[in-house]
Amino acid sequence: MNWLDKIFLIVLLMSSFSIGAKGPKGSFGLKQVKVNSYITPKKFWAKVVEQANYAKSLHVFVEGKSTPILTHQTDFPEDNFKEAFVLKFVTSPRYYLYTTWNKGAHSERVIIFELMGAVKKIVFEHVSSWPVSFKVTDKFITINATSEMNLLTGTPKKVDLIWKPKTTSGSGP
Amino acid sequence: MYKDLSKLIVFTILPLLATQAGYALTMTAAFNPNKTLRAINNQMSGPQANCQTGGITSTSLLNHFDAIRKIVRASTSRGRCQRAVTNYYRQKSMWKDFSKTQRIQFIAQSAMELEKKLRNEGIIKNCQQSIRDIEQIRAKKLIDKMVKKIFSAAYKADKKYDYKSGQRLPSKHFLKYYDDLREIFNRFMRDQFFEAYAPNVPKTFTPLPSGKKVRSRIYQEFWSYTSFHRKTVESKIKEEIYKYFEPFIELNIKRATQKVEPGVALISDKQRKIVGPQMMNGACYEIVKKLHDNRSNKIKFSANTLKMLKKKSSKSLGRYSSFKNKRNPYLFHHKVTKEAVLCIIKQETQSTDFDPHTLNYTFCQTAIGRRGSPKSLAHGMAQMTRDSFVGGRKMGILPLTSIDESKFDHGSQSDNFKLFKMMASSSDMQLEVLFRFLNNRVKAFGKLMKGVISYDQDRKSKYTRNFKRCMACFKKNKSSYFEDSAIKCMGGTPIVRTRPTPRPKRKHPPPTPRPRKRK
Repeated sequence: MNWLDKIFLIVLLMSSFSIGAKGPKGSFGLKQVKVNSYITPKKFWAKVVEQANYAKSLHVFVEGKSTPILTHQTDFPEDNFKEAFVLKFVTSPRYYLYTTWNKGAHSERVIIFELMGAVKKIVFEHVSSWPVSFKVTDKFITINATSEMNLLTGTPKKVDLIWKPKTTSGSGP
Repeated sequence: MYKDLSKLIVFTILPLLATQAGYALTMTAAFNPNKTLRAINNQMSGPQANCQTGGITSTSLLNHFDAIRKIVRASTSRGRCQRAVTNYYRQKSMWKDFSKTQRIQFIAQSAMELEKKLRNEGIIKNCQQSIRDIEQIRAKKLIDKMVKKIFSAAYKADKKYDYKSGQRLPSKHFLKYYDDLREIFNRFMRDQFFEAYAPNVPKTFTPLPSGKKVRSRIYQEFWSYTSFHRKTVESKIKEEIYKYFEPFIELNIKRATQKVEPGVALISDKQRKIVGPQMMNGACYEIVKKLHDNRSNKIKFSANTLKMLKKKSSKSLGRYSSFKNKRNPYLFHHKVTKEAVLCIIKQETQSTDFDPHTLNYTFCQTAIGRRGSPKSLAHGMAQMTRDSFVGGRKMGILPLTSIDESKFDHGSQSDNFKLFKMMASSSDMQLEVLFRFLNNRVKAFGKLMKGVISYDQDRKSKYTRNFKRCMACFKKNKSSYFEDSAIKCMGGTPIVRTRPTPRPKRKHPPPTPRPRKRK
């Protein structure tokens, strides 16, 4: 083996290790909503790709892997991706992804995914007529959504939705 | 193979480019196409329209928007914030002096005008696009023809000189014939192009003398290559020539498209409403032909464009929901009417008495703490959030005609933010955005109700029921004054119109008594 080849091999090996440390190009780190300190967070990366017909698709990666564990495309290209958080509850070993999407003029769609390997599974979906906020506890998540506008007062009716993960045995991604 | 390619690039394409640079230098003295185009552009855009509503210009609108944001950030609780914002509007809203009915009246009037304007604009833009396509195809065909002619002439010349002797010239000789090539392009291309394609374009430059066949040895070199290489060179030459003539082609297209605008008045209002993708090309041909045939008008189109338009007139643009038509903001669905738009406005701004300058309650709901940025910036009659506004702008489904758009970029985020701020106090802009966004939605689904639902609401809500009631009300109370029916359906106090006094009955003069017969 030539000494030049050896150096080349070493460089190749080094680069192969460094690939796993970060997400792919153009991706951003997903924040985990921390409830308790004992939860050991896995690092997730996300990437929003705009396609030729302006439809947006969200790709989620786990640290150390180059293939996405989740891909989701919007029904309408006008609907934009807004934000995403990783959720982890005490009651289940799995990770969940909380995402919000713009819909229409001022509505918002909330989708919660279960992050299982290579299979897309929508656990929760709701369309709120106005923007949404949420609060997380150890065991469940409350989503503060709104329904139609009260025409007399000028404020919409509030709807608080609670979602709990099913207690099932199994490992995450 | 690669050596041959490099030779080709050095000895055929580079000198061609150089020739065009030479042209540019020679032409600038006499005729500068870019300058004239710019002048025409400026003429076409016309006087710059300011965004004015209620006598307040667009610069003050931005301050208005920012002032409220300051109030939101300064207030300590949500309740106080809402009170402060409502007080601000009571004092400074541009429509504070108008009553509810006056507001409805104004909105109805402007919606009526806007609908007419947008439908007209749609017909004009689509017609202009089809004319543009036709002209471009024509120009490309002409250039193809001429390039073929040149090469066939060269081929003939080449046969006589080169193939009989069987000699091949060394490639260095190519540069010697640089001037010859330039001359050929002068004669064959420029004169023939203008005579055939754009006879009406003013020729201020001096044409070169034409006539004699120019035979040079450049072509011996060129034809000695294989046919594959020749084709690549030919296509590149075609592209270069098209680029060179592009300003002239654009000029000709602009002249043709400008003529369409006055023709829209020739179509009746009823016909204008129906014009969908099936009728669009037919309407365009009708307008162009009416303009062409009218003797009092001086507007004339070339025979070729008329022929091509006639061929195209029977073809439809396809379904509304096709990818191309859905993205086309100038194609309006016949179900997107002023009534539908007003019914949406009723749902959105009834609680604020139709004041388009109010922000909604979410403005006081901040994302992180009280000092954070507002949760959503939806405001006005359209109640559109900034994200969906910017998304629509970037895709090109929200072009704006109510302001001078030439200063703003479709793609840039900062420009779109500025426009969004301006929308906070311009009712015209809000209406237009509502029209266009709803149109996009309705086209995508094909039904009005589905489009309205996807505009902003959940399926389960009362929104649909209220909307249907409102539309039924408009159907029931049709009157010659659209404002009257709008006031009735949107809950204003009806206007008492003074009816014209009935004409007094003509009193016949009493019959004259017959003279009695004397006995």
